[in-house]
Amino acid sequence: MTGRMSSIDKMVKCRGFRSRGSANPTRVGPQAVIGRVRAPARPEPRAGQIPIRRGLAIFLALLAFLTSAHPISALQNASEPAVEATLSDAETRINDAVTLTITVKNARVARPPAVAADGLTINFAGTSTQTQIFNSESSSSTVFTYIVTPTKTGTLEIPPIEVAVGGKSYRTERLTLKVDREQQDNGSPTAGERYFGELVVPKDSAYVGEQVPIELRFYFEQRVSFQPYPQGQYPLIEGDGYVTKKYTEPAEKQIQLNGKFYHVLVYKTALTGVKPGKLDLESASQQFLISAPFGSRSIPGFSDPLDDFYQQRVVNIKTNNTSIQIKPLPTDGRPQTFSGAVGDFTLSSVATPDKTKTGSPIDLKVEVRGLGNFDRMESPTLTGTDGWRTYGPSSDTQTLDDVGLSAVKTFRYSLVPEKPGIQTPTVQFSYFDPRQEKYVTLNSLIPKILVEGDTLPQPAGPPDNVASANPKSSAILRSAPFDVLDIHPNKGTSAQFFPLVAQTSFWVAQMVPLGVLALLGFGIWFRQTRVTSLPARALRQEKRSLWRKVNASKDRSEVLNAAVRLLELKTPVSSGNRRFYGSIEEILARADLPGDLRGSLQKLVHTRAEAVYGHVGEAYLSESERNRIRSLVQQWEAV
Amino acid sequence: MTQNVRRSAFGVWRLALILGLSPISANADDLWTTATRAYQQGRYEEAKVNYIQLVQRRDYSPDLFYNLGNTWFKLGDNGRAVLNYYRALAMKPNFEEAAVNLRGILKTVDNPIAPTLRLQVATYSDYLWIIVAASFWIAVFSVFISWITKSKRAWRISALLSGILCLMFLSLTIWAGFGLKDRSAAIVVDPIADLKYGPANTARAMESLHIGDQVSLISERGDWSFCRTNGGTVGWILTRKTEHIVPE
Repeated sequence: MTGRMSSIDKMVKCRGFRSRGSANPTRVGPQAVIGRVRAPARPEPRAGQIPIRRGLAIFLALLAFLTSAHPISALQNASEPAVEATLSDAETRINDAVTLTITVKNARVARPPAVAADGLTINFAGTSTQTQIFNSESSSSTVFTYIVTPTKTGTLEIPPIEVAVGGKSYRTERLTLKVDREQQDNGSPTAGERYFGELVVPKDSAYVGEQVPIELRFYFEQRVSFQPYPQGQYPLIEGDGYVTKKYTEPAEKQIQLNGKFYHVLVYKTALTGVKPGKLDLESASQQFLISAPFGSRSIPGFSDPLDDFYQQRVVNIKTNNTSIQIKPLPTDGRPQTFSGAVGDFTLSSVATPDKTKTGSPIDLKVEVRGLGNFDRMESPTLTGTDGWRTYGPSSDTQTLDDVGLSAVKTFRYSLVPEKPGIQTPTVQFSYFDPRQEKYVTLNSLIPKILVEGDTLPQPAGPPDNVASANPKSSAILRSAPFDVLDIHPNKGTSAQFFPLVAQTSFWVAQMVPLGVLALLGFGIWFRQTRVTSLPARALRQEKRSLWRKVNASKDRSEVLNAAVRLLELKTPVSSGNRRFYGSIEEILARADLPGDLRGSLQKLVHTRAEAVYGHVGEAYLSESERNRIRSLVQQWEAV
Repeated sequence: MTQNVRRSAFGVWRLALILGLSPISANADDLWTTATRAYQQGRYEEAKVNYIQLVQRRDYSPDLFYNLGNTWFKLGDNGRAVLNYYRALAMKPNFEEAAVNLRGILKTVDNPIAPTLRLQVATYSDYLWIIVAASFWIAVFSVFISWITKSKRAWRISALLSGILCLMFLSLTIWAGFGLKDRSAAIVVDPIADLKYGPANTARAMESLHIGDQVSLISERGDWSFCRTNGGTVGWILTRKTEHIVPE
């Protein structure tokens, strides 16, 4: 079930995957076809009008001169727009792709022109916009690249392509492409296959680091419904020695191939060879869940679409193999400032502000635009930096197409003037142009910046991690290759990888507030307990004091008083577990006591009253009486 | 007899430890000095060996990993340089020199990773735990004091606010995790490591990871680890192309 298109092995003969308008258009390829149209010339003024409008003309000329002196207006100072279209090859075979480039010069066009032709599948591949400003002269061009795949033989025509520029319409010339039959030994995928894959590589050779746009196409017959399986899955290309960019979202379209209609799912990406040599691209594969009529119960020759069996199944569709020769970058003529950029780029720079003081930094924004390997591109070089301290740069890349072939990479430098009245540096950027097969060095002169103030003192040394200014004004200052800050000679304090919450010390530290809380709680409990037990403690203390008097005092009244007080402090409990209240006499009368004890205790109370209030009896207490009193009190307490 | 000898030797060793004369400690200092001198003299391989011995002894310090990161960089292994800078930053989040070197190398390898908010918060998870603990205890003490004092209103408000603060920071801390100190956190040390749908070379790749990309290793099967990237993608990666931030 796997369709293979090995004709792609010999598919492309073009020299460059894109071409742009240039002074020498024949460089596009030996068989390049060029259509070029200039805008119509302005009508000559009538002779009688010249003297009348001379003043106005002089004024306009002066205005134009003044405006052109400003760098920002350099873009507007361009010459007339021009549009041209080229094909990388004039002849090809069926299903062998060629490259179509449309170059719009001296005008900005955002949208790629619509291109369609009978018998040709034309897919947009990328845009490159280039602007150069040098010595107040500017030139710009926008290049749109398409991959053109013939689907039928014969001499096919691409009709004039219309490009709208600034309200005017420009048309390219008609292009022709002679298409032969494909070779028969490769098993045409159209020979009855319901679905098949195709790997389209529009070049047979490329340089190391050069980005080659490729397409993976999966064809399905009209009656076959399909979806990638699992969903979101992208094709896998077998092979090594190259890197690819992320796939774009696949585009779906319908084409007619050998009289049959197919749905085509197209994945676009770009391939970059990383080492020289032959790069074999094994087949790319992608799984699809397809629903297709498999077989028919109809009688042969009588087609009944309702009679087909529709089945769902997962199929792995492989494309053809192909190879591409990866050539090493030439060493001859390699500029000192070359840092690995391969493609076709333009350079522009803007510095703000245009007036500053010594020591105050200016922001230099350098933009590199075009088609190429932006991911391997290093920062441009600053030359003529005498009197400037340079820092940075930082960089940011913004892709301009869905594959990321064309992009703009912005570098930002900080420049600090050290002396007043110094010349502005020049930005220099070198790259290898695979189309021209030579190194190209671009220069962008930063517009004059007025520097005022005093000369700054020389710094003690170059700041860390920053490119220092070169003393020779003509010497080249590259943004210095990165180096790390120096090591620490001292070992420093030991540490662990445990998170704080997993460290014992953290939980030990939690014991501190917990302990404080516990202490506080204990203190409060203790205080409460003390307050509650205060009467009992006072009672005990009083009892102890009274007992001391009973045991030791010589004063009879004092002993008797203490004894009666001890009797009062011990309130006996009745048999009904009721506490008696009242005077000691009443309590003694009502308490359940043995008769002799009650009488003895009442006598003791009476004796105390006589001794204290009537002063009856001895002043001194005999030991026998003390013992008797003590015994009575103890008996009372024991009740 | 043998036991007596062993006991005596152990006693001497303990005495030496107490007096700060541990033979292991002295050796570690020697290793550090040797490694540092070797680095300064450009003998990076020798410096690397000595620094790694210190790591194997678990004699960790932010400076050790910083110096080891520098050494790996000098030896041309950007992946392991990045790994060791991450280790230094895990131990000391405000280690400015390690952060500068890390940024520089990531820029060199064209993978200028912007740390996620979660990682940025997690970097300071230790401080967050301190805030959680402090606010918890303030809440507890406020409740306690409001219970025992007459001016209950102010203490109750204090308890409520500190309780809310405690819960907020606890949620934040749990969300952020342990960041670089997470035991499952690992760094891609190979220039290109494909995240695949299955643990096999033939499995389809879903994403290409680069030096410095952080992944969370969930489980292991043979040479492969099931992992989650910072972007949330899960898949299989060759274990040897990653290394745990926390040394094993």
